[in-house]
Amino acid sequence: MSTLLPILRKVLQFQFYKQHAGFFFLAFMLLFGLIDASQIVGYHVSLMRGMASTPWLCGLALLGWTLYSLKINFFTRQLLRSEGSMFLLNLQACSPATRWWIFWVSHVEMMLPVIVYTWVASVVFVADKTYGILILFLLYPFVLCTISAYLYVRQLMGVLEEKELGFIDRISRLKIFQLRSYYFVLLKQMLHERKLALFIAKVGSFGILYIAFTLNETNFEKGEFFILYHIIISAHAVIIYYMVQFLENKLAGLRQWPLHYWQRFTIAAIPCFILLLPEMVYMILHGQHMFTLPEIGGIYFFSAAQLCVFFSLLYLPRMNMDRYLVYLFTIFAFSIFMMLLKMYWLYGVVELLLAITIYRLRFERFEQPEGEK
Amino acid sequence: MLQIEGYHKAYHGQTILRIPAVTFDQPRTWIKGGNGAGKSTLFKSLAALIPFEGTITLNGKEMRKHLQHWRSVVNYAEAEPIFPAFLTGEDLIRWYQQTKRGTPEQVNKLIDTLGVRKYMHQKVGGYSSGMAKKLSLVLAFIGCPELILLDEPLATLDVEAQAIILALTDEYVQQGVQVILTSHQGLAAVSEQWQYVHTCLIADKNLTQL
Repeated sequence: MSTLLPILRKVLQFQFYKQHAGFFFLAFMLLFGLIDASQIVGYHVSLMRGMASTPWLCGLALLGWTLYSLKINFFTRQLLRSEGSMFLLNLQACSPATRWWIFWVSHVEMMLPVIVYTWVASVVFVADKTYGILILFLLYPFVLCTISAYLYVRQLMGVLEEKELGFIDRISRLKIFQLRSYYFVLLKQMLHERKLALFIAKVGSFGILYIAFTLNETNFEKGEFFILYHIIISAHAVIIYYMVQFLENKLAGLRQWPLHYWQRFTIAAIPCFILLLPEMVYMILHGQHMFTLPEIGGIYFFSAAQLCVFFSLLYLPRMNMDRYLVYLFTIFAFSIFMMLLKMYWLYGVVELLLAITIYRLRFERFEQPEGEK
Repeated sequence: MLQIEGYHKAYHGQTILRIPAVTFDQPRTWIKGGNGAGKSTLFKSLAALIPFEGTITLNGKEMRKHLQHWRSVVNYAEAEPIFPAFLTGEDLIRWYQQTKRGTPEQVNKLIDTLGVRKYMHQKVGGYSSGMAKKLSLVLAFIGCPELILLDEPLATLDVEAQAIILALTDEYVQQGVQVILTSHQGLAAVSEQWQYVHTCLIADKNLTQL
């Protein structure tokens, strides 16, 4: 087992943290970036105390950790299914205790951000003598790890069982989705392989919209909203990153198809525009006290066009996740300024032209950055 | 002795291969068949990697009932091996050594025999197809196998390495290991031992013994 864990760590834990760097950055921004540095400790301590005294806030935290655990679970199970990880099936040859222990430790290592948070919270709970919530917080992440380890072992040992088609697989086999299916291939991929990432992005996105338009209906500044709105876009930028990875790795054969650049670009543009439709609908329903209808349309157009820019940026040389984030935040700084000038439509058109130009120039010369294959 | 009964494999309702009953009781078996005949599918089934209908038994132990044992004693090398690009050959060798309970002496001997040592510390992503193939063959011989499945073991290898592989299989056969392989290339020209072997043909979604 001494050799197995470090190797599994390379395959699983390192890859998980690497592939979800954007997600962690977003979570970090939400937890620490929006609060004044001098108030961070006080804010989090009162948040922890709030969890101990308010059942719904406590439930929300537990739900968040469950979703995070599900994200890990989804990643691990997907890895176990992938062709390149077939060697992992050799774990079947190990004793049941070894199999279980290895997966449990792996899940614990990927749950570390949650576990560290609960340990910090437990210091507050000990000081406040709220032992019930202390036990709940200390045990809950490990319960999630235990359930996940059980699911991994079950999948590992169930490799000879035929899998039934899931709901989304059944839906996607309907004839209507087969028409010109390459236009919707990225949308389908999102729903199939990145549904959890999409779900988390949408939960965060609607949480922000809810805070801006519903909870703080009267006392929310446009400037504050624009900053928060860019967090929504950055959550979706991670999905765009996955889209390009899928397009250029698993669907590399599409390059051989006799498609025009316009058609290729449309394949990416369609999900970019569809992705943000729910946010636009929410803004139409709840945000008209802050923005007019044309403004909402402009914000939607500009943000969808920005996702197209992110898509095209990934075709620039040596564009790994780190560089992608740098470009992303440079664009954010500029676009917040443009939003404040209310030049949504103009900026959207410029973005779209920029996206098309970069894509047209870089598509043929695209090379996967080292380590992203 | 390997026995297959009532084997049926289909993808999306379309039959790929159907084998009512067959027994492999010879130490060396060569399975022939054209492209897409179902050789790799059969090998993946024998290696307990994909679901299928029917029962497969090795030396009296049925695959589904003894999956842990099966994984320990059945080794498989793919025709076109795929490994995570960020792992080194050494990582994979150590992984197999631990899970298949191979001894350091055995592993070192295999590494030297197939000439993998000089690049085993590099990441697999930088391997040529021949290097990856040799690595997958080293992995297929690690441990105490009762059955070794080699899917196109000679493809992408140079003539010298081809002879080494067949000599290695002979060494294992001498120790009582059963070897089943597929190859589009003639084996007799490479090794005398493989001149008169048990040969099967997969064609028309069926397997026949020649």
